[in-house]
Amino acid sequence: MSRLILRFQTLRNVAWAVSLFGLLSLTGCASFYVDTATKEVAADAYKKPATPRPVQVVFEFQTKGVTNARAAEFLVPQVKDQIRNSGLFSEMKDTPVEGGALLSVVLNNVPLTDDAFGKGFVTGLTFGLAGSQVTDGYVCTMKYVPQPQAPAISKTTRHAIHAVLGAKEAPANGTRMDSLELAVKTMTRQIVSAALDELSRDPEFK
Amino acid sequence: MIGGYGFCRRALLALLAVPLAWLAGCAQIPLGAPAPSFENIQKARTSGTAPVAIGQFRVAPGANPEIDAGLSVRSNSVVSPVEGSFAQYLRQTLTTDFQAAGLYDAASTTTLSGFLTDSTLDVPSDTGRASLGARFVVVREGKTVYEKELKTSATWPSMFIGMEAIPTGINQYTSLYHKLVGTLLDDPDYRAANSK
Repeated sequence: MSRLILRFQTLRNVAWAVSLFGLLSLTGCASFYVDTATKEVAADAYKKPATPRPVQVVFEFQTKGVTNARAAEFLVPQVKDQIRNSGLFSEMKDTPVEGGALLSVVLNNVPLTDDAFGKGFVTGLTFGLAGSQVTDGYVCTMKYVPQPQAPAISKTTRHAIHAVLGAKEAPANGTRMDSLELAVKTMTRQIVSAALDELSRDPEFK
Repeated sequence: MIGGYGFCRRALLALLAVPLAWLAGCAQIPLGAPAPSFENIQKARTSGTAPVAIGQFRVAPGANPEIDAGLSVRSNSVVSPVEGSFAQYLRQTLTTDFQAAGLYDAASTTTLSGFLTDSTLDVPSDTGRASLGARFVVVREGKTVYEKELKTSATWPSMFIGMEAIPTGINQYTSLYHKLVGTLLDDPDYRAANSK
């Protein structure tokens, strides 16, 4: 019975993954690995501004560049908590703030088998796409507009989740996660932390 | 013990029914809740338009009422999470974007209303197509100062496999709501009619 339930949970996870993230067209058992190339940067390591300012935050999840509202619903509380606790801003709101600062975070799920998207991943990430391994890429684009009409400071970070089917070996460049949900949340935390770190080090970010 | 097994079996079958129905078709799939669009906030910031109250949204007179209720996609039904109405989903999207841009004022004497004129989603195994249209009306102190139908559409390569094609189609269709709001914010006639 427990095996049946486990099988069901796997099926449910795969159905959930496909519906939310378009991750994998899989049947059967899969193991999920978060790529090791992009590591989490602790908030303590960010370069904090002398006088943090309030910011309005907008988060969007995309699948192949198109808004995926259902996936965004799943991740938005985590991303906003992470920004709120980053120490880079005095206050975070969904509505316009004093000074007009606006931070847009877009997390785009891209298939790495598409050449157009895959090229950006060649540096820093290595893949073993052969056989029964599928890798989904993620591009986090963070745009910070310090005030209305001001040019945006833009930062881009990349990440990946590997899914392995059956008895294929674990990828050398992946950390195994207990579930796809955990893999997605871990990947999101790491990729957003890397983007926040880059933003904090931009000379124009004050 | 047998009763316990039977319960477990029924529970498992019930649990399986939801994802299997989704995988096999015949599922009811709600759109995701609207979230603010960065592009529309930026457009709104440069539009020079005044804050508005958001009035009623409903199906345009003469339009097929079914366009408001749902869309059929490969035996699945796509529905609005806002009162089961795509007109209300458009209202919610517009309100979300306008609030995020500081252009929503419930107490304003200028009211923006809308009538859904078009809503389609077609997900065959070659080219997917979606369209969305609405007539927007701006009334200031009882006088109509803007009335115009705006439309937007999308096409994309559509896969044979439903598990890939259906979510892609839904995402493409959903994104049209922000595009339509962006079209309104871009419209010179709207900007002129509702300038600050």
